[in-house]
Amino acid sequence: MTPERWQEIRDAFHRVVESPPAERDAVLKTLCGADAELRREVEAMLASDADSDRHLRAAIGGAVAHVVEHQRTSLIGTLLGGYRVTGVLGHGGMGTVYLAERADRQFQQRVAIKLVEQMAVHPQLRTRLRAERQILANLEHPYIAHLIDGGENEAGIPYLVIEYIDGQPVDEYCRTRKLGIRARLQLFEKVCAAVDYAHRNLIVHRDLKPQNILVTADGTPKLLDFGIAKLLAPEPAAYTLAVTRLQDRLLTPEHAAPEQVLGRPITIATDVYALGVLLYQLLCDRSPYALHSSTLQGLERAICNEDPPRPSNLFRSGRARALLEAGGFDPQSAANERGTSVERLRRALAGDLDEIVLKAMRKEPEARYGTAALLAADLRRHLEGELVTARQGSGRYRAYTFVRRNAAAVALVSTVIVALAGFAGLMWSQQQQLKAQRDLADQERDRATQVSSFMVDIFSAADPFKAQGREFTASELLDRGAAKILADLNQQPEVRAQMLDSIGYAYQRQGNQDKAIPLLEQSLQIRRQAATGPTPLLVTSLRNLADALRMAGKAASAEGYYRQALAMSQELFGERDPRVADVMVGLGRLLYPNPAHIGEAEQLLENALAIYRDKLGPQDSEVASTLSDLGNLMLWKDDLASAEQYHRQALRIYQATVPRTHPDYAQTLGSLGYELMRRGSLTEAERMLNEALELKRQVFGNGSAQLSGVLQSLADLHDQRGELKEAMALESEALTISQHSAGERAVETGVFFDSLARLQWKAGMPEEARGNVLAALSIYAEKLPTDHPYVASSEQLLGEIHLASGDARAAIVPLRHSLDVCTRTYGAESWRTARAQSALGAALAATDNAAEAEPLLVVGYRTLRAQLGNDDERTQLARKRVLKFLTAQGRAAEADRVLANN
Amino acid sequence: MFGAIVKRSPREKAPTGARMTRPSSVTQLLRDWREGQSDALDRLTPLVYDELRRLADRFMKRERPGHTLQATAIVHEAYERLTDMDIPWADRQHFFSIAARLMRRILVDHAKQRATNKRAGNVTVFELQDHDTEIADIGFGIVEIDQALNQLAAVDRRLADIVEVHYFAGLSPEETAATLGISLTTFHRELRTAKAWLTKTIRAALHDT
Repeated sequence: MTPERWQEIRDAFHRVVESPPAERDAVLKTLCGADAELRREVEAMLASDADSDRHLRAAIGGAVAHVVEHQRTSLIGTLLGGYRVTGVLGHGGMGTVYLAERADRQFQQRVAIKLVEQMAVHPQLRTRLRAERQILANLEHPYIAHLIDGGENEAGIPYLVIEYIDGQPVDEYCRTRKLGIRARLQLFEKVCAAVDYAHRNLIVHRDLKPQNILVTADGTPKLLDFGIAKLLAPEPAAYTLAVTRLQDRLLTPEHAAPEQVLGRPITIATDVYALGVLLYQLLCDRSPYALHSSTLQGLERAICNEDPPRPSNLFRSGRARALLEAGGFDPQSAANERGTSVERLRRALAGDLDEIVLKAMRKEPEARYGTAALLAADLRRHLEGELVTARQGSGRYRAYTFVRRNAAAVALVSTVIVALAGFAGLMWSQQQQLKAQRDLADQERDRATQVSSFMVDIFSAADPFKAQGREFTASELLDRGAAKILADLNQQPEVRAQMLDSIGYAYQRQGNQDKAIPLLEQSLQIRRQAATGPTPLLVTSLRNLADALRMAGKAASAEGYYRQALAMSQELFGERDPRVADVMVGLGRLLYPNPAHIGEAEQLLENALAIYRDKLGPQDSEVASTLSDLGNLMLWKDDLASAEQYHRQALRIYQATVPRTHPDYAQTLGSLGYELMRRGSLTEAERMLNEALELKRQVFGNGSAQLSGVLQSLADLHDQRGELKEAMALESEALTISQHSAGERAVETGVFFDSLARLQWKAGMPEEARGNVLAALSIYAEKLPTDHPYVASSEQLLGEIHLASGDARAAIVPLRHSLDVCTRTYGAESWRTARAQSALGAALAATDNAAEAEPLLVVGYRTLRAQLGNDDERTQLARKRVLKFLTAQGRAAEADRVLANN
Repeated sequence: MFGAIVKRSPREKAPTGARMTRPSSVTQLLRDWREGQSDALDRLTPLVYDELRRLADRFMKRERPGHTLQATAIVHEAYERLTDMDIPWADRQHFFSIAARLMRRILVDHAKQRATNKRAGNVTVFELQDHDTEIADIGFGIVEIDQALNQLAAVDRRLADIVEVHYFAGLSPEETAATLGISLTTFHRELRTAKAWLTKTIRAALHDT
């Protein structure tokens, strides 16, 4: 073909392919005219044009693959030791594995020969390697591929002759056989048995991964590659260590334990870690650090610093899952491969298996299972439905992290020793933060020491931990600490701020806001002076102060501090940080009692929950506590069913993770008891409330504010049973406690006045009731805006009390105001509005304003019936009022029509 | 590395771990060539060739074989190993042009050698079954592509270059266009033409035999 001819062909081809398909024939005809050969050429090209370049690519790719494979195959046919190489089995970090057979043909024995190419063996090492090989050769276990022989080839490269295993890597085996979780676990247990056997022979595998664990057709696992295993026995020679490091750096990093990444001593715990990773992979079809594996450094960092996602979390829906899917993980196909659904898989993994995997994979070698056998035993327990040690153990582990996060709170419920550990932990972590900000390591160490010795001073009285033969209560310890820090002005500012903050926080957790607030304010002030911009410590101070103010009922100032803390924490830590979630929770708690802000509150809490679940795991105490808050919020929405659900979820987490004496456990128990009470499950409710009360008395002492809520719920419960006397006694105790702890004029105290008044009104004691509800309203007048729902509720009660004592005229003003507020805050369809309508209707009817009264009475009754049901006492009261009104009007005959549905 | 072990090694290998070539020398040679020293290319070529071979021999790719990705990865790795970070764009293009040609040569030489060995029957052939099957499926291989490309180059050098750089060095359309100094539109039009012509020609050749 001449260049000119080619030019013609090329031009014709261009012209034709660039014209619309329908016109191509015509274009072709015009271009080629009578030149049949040109037409044939172009038509042939057009016929090939439809093809993709798949064939070209495949042919080139195939050629590359041949080149790549060539070197590996060039040994084939040669003799190595007494074996003839017949093929290549694979290629790994340490070298190539060949298939070979006995050359003498006396036995038909197939073997695998591993040439350890990477090992640049120094002649001095050979003796030692030979000794090690001998020990490996002595490993006789049904699940370990037997080391038959070994040597060096003429170039001095060592090789190992190993029993040939015809099998699949364990992960692939599980996938292709679509094994369910139980079968996978049973297989994994066998792997553990083999590893444990090697450990008992002082051999650590160091590179356990699916490719090193083959499963034969009959389901027997065989562990390969003890080739780089090293004896646990102490090594005198430095050169061995160097080789070891080299080997470790060649490991598949995804399976490497933190100590391997860091070049720290390798022990059997390293294998336990790798078993944890393997178990993770078998359960999830994904490696734990898959999201970080794009770069080696990223992966190594993640291995050392980050907790892997809990296995069950991989199968959770929501944002975290979207992230995983973006990372190439497909939960659906993982579930399909086990013949189950994503949700069922998630549930199967949640709990025991999560904890077992994570315990095996702990960063600190000593926190993992001590041996592979213990790991296997825990799995066995799980399979047999017994309590697994990982969860008991995780209680301890969590207790530690919990202590670190909540040092002061723990001081209240735990021993002084734990508190000390907590402070040390707290200081340590804050020291790290400080370090990042400024390079003042020495000063920080001093601070940590100062805080520690300060705490020791507080806690070690002359007779340590004993005062008049009893333990100090937490309050006494805190008072001593507060007195000391307030008196001691010589401390460094940040040390002082830290201790003020910690003690203030402890008071706050104790419910003693009056003592907490000044300490926290001082701490904030010191830190503000010290900081030029946002700092994590400022966030802590702002949040703790806001919490205390919120608990003290100072909503407006609390909100300001929360919003500052929120903005600052987002700026410092990013949107999805647990420390941001901490602030969201506080602000959410502050906002949800306000109907105008309940939506924002719910959003904040939901966001916080997602962050906690994502970052801390689904069983974390913060998750539980936020669930609890959402439950409380649902109460404000009158959604008792959702409230109960949230609280039950929270309670389950607490039951699994904290001791009964944990304050949040008792708190949740109390809330759940309340909901059950409200939903009429009185027996279960009473049991829970009594337990909560007992725990709280134990933990917080008899006069603690923490008791009042439970007391009130129990009062409600007795109220529901018609046991008004018991109810009033409990309510009075709650009120007294609140007066002492929250304060005479605290909003909370007002609520108890209101509740007691409500009971007294029901019990036919309008005089006592009136006094108490007026007390409530006078507190509210000081502390709350006039259109606060509490005000509306108490005014409604006051109206009822006036009605009950025959003073309808006095009832009208509070009832009108209550109705107005209720309509604006809850809407016309709310039972609260309806209740106010009905009461106001009754008051108007009694003051001869029948025209205005009638629609209020009727609409109020109908709404109550629709919202609360016919049998509710509030509906019944409204019904009675309609009947009374009609009777008084001489229209009793209309009753059926009026009461009936429209 | 096996060269040291196996006596009938097909070619001499670089000692383990040692780098035969300092990056700066390749960088320098690329510059020399750009500046008109014609013998620079002669000195450059063996360096790149050896590196590509060495990489190909030692290449342990996790991906399924039978894709040009491997070639791409090898060429890019050679580039990273042989050149300095701040190599000028023009020299980078030259490198990939050279590497593409050399990669093609390595693949073709190897395939021909393999065919010879097969005919001679002196090798216990252990091949990767899957891509042999795939190639059988396609009906043609690297040798046929090479011949067709030679024919194409004889009449239209630029089209052959496009195919070479794009497929054998694995450069993206944008990079290929930039390397050859053509527009992206031209690249796509010419590649389409080249593909159609190559496929047609290879088919015809196979049909004739």
